[in-house]
Amino acid sequence: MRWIHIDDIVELREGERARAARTVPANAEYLDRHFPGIPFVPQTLLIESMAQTAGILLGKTTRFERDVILAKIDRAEFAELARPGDALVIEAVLEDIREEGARASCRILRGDVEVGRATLVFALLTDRDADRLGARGFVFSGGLFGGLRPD
Amino acid sequence: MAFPVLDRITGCEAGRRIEATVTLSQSEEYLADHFPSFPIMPGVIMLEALVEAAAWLMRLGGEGGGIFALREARAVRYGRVVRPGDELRVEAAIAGDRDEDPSFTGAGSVGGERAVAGKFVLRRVPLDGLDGAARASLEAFLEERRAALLGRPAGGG
Repeated sequence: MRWIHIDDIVELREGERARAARTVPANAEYLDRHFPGIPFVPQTLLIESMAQTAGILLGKTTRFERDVILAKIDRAEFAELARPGDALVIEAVLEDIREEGARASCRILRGDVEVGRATLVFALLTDRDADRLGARGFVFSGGLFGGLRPD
Repeated sequence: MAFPVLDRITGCEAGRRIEATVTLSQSEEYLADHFPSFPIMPGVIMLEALVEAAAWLMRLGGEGGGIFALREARAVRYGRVVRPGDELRVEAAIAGDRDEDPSFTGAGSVGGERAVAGKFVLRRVPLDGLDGAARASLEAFLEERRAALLGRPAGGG
C-alpha cells in the first residue's frame, strides 16, 4: 500500500479551506486484507485522507517550507462506511493558525451523505524539532506529496 | 501489507485489557511515501494498532468472531516517532459502553517511551449481507489471524 490517500486537490483557498477528491480503489489489496468479503476503508485511513488535505492546506501557508505533522486527533467520528468505488469529497477548514501549528475541522462526504468528520491538530516543525528528529524538509520535498502540491 | 497491523498478542485479560506488538518492517511499502527521506510509521497506523487490539479483546472475550469499525476517536496524542525496526507495544483497556458500543482507552510505546495514547469507541459491523460461504471464509480468516497473533496453530486452544 502506498501512502497517498487523496487523488487530487480540487479547490484551495489559501490559508482558509481546501477540498480534495478521493475515489476508493475498487480492488486495493489492503481493503481485502482488512476483512475479506466485507471490504471497507479502515476509518484510520479516512482520518489520513482528512489529514493529508488539511496538511497540504497548512503547508501551503508556509510555501511548503516547513514540515507539517499530525500532532493530535482531537476528535473523529464516523457515521457511514466508505466502500470500494465510493467517490468521496474531503473538506478541510483551517482554524486557529499559530506559529507552532494549527487546528483543522474536516469532513468526508459521499454525495450529500457525511461519512465522517474530524478535528485535527497539526504541528509546524521548527529547526529545533528538525534537530531533535534528525530530519527536515521531509514532508513536501518530493514523492507523491510533492506531486500533490497545488502551486 | 500494512493491514492488518499487529504481529502478536502478548497478553489478554478477557473483558478487561489486551497487549499486543507490531514491529515496523524496513520493507513496509508505505515508507516510500511516508516519508521518502524520513521513514516513520504514520500516526493513523498507530491508532489502527490500538483499534485492532481492542477488536481482539472483544473477540477473545467471548463477543464472537464479529468485525468492528472505529466509530469515534478522541484526544489521540502522539509522542515519539516509530522508525523501521522499532517495536511498538500497544495496550487497550475497556473503559465502558457508549450507547451499547464498547469504548476503550489505548496507548502505545517504544522502549518505554510513549508514542500514542487516546480514547476510542468501536462499532460492530453488521454481516447481514454476507452469504454462508463468505461468512465461512471471513471466519476462517479471523481464526487464522487469531492463531498467528497468539502464536498457536489454527484450531488449537
